[in-house]
Amino acid sequence: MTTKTSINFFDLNFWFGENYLSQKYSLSEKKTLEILSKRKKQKNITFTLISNFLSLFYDAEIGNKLTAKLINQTEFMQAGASGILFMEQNYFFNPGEFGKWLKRSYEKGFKLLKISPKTHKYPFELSLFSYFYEIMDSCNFPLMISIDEIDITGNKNIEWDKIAKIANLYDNMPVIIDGGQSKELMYNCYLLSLLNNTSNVYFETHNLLGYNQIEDLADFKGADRLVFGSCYPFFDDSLAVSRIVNSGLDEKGKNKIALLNLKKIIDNIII
Amino acid sequence: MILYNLENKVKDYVIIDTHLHIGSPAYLYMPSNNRDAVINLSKKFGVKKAICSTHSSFFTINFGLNELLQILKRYRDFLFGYFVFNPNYDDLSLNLLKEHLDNKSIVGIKIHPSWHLCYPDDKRYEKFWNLAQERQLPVLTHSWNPEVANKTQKFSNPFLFENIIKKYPDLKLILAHAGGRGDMLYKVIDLIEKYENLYVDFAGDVFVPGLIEEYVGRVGSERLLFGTDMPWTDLRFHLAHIFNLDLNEKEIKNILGINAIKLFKLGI
Repeated sequence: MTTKTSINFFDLNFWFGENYLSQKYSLSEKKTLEILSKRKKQKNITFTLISNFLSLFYDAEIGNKLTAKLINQTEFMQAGASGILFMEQNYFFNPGEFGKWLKRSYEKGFKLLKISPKTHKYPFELSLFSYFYEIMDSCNFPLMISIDEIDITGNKNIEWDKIAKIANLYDNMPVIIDGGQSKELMYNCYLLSLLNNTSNVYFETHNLLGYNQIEDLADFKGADRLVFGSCYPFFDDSLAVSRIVNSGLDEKGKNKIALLNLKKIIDNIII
Repeated sequence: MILYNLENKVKDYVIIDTHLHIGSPAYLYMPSNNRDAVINLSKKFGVKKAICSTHSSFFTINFGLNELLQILKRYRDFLFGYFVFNPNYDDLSLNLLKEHLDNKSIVGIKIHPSWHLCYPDDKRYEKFWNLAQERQLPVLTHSWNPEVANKTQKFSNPFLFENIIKKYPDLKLILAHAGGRGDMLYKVIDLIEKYENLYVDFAGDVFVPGLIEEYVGRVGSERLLFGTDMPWTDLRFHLAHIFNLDLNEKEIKNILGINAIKLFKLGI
């Protein structure tokens, strides 16, 4: 028994390229296009923000260049792909160039900046990163950060308070948190407090795995603060889609989480 | 675009959730988590029977067991139970287990070497393994890749169970979470291939594309069990996962329920 759904999805958590830790999780250019096209047709995942493994595991600059090359190909555009930009460390040396780089990157198809302070060993704290936050805030450019990247000690001591302070000071800059490889369920109280004490923090859904967790968070602050992500290829995107379709939310809430909230964030960029 | 309407889809299947937890999960706060709500969601999405352990049983012997017995009585049309063996109270735990061997609602034993910080080949587990084999009670054990930030996972390295299986060849052992993370999920297939009394579930957040198909391709579908780990992971993720696998109907039915009915002798 199957049913059709009119819900369209905008996935902001999709990884491609070479994962040096495992061939199982690597996606060639050809395979990436094949998967993006297939899921657009079969699963209504109409748009996807793609992240390159090389941008995280190797070098952000090299990864960003390869991503730009991909998302500017007609076939990838038709498959709904745009890019996730990773912070490049040379802008700590040339901060004055950051704004221009962000604008050029946006024009090349990058719609969100991801920071990886733990893996790439740079600060994200207000006192040391504020110059970049100010520029992003001035053009409503969204920031994304994984829980894994703000678990500096590796012992689940997440820097939630720092996130709250950043979000509150730069409240035009949407701050999107993804659960990485953690079970976000463990941080429910933090999630509730962050939602309650900020207006621009969003949670990506792939790791909101707990029983009724998506409905609970939506009930608490409305469906406006959740954005859809699949974390492909680590997770099967069919179940991320199905979880929203089969959730206890009304159609309006499902559509917001699936696509509208992220679209609104991206449409709001003025650069 | 085709997606499953899960509530309709599940009507064609006998679904047994072999990995459910009931009660307060200690320090984890879940606004909607209560017994009735969890069980109602399970029933709504087609689960016919579930085998559960109480969270409290991992922390306290008597309170945990009493809670289990109470809920098994209250939901006797739906729930079966796992007795949780705590190696840190090995004699007490074993004696209580012996006392309840005739309880038809208790159909298996759960162990969690990482929670109890005790390796499975530690002597504190020895009498327990003997009894489980002798009474043919399936044992569900936590298993996980030790190469993760959480150091306690070293106690549940799936390969630590190889010596147990060799020593107790008639023991029915289920490796929960199939090793949990990374390439360990694939290495566990070697173990399942090698030992015919070894089973596996994909409870929790094991949703790697292609993984279950690879298991079925190498070891068949008969030793794969459906488990959710509710409330840690919502049932709806698991159902969507199973129904989107590239498997035939027989294989899906085996995984969703038939294998569990046979292994736990559920008589349904």
